[in-house]
Amino acid sequence: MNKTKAERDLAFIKQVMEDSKKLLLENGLPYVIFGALSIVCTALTYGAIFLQFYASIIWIWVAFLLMGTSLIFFILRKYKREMMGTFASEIYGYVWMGMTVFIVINGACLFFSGKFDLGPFLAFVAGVLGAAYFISSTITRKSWMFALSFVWWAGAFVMVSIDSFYAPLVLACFVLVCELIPGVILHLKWIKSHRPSGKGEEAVPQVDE
Amino acid sequence: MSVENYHTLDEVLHSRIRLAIVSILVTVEEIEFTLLRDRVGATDGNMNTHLKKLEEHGYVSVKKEFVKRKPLTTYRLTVKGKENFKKYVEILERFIKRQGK
Repeated sequence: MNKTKAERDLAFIKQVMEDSKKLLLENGLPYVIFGALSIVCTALTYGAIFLQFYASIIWIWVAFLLMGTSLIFFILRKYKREMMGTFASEIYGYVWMGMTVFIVINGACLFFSGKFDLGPFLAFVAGVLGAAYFISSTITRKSWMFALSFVWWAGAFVMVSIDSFYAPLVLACFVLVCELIPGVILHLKWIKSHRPSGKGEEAVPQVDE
Repeated sequence: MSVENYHTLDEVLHSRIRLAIVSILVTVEEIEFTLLRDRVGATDGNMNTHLKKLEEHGYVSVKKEFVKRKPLTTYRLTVKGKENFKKYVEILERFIKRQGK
């Protein structure tokens, strides 16, 4: 063995590891789905307020949760083969699942006890999302996610301090910035790294044996 | 690298395909056979031969199960595999460093 061969071997290892790490990229679709759906639901909520169908608001958000979770379930099933299961990704999934259940239970308790107030509740949702982003950033080591957790927390303060009527609108803006746009970026990156003709799919450079 | 040092290189890992397999496995928790084969770009037979050797030497562990009546074989790197891969990379790095002086 000479120096060139050793360098080639090391470069080979690095490239293979780098390429396989691309498989661990998030495809971003859960962010896109929840982001887009929540913006649509916010618009529907204002529509219901405008038409004075106040009772339908809760059902709009129940439908949002059902549609969002079912869509994500089917999409993740479709991509399961390309998304390798790691212990970190498993924890990541459970963090989001746990946070969603936490929000739903709190919302249901407040609603059925007659203490539901939209503004403070959405501020609470933003606070929980901030916590979810904060924990997820530690698992995924994504600095942008870490930064967005503080944006969510700032959003919680904004929502609790304004009139409840504007809270869904503010939430929709935060969803756009913190969820939909990053989701689209993640998905585009994911498509690029999984494109068959792209470099990402070539994976192992010249396995000559 | 001297002849003596050359022999310190792990014989199991000193093969392009096995090195590729272990390099992929070190970045993931576990991976199914077909996906691993596609990433390495080798044939089924070739993959089986190399995976068997890695398994015999205790570098990888295999899990065979049925998911929706279809066989699913997944591989993961063992602690021994991880340690020996680390040593292999360290030897290469040390050698390059020494040659560079």
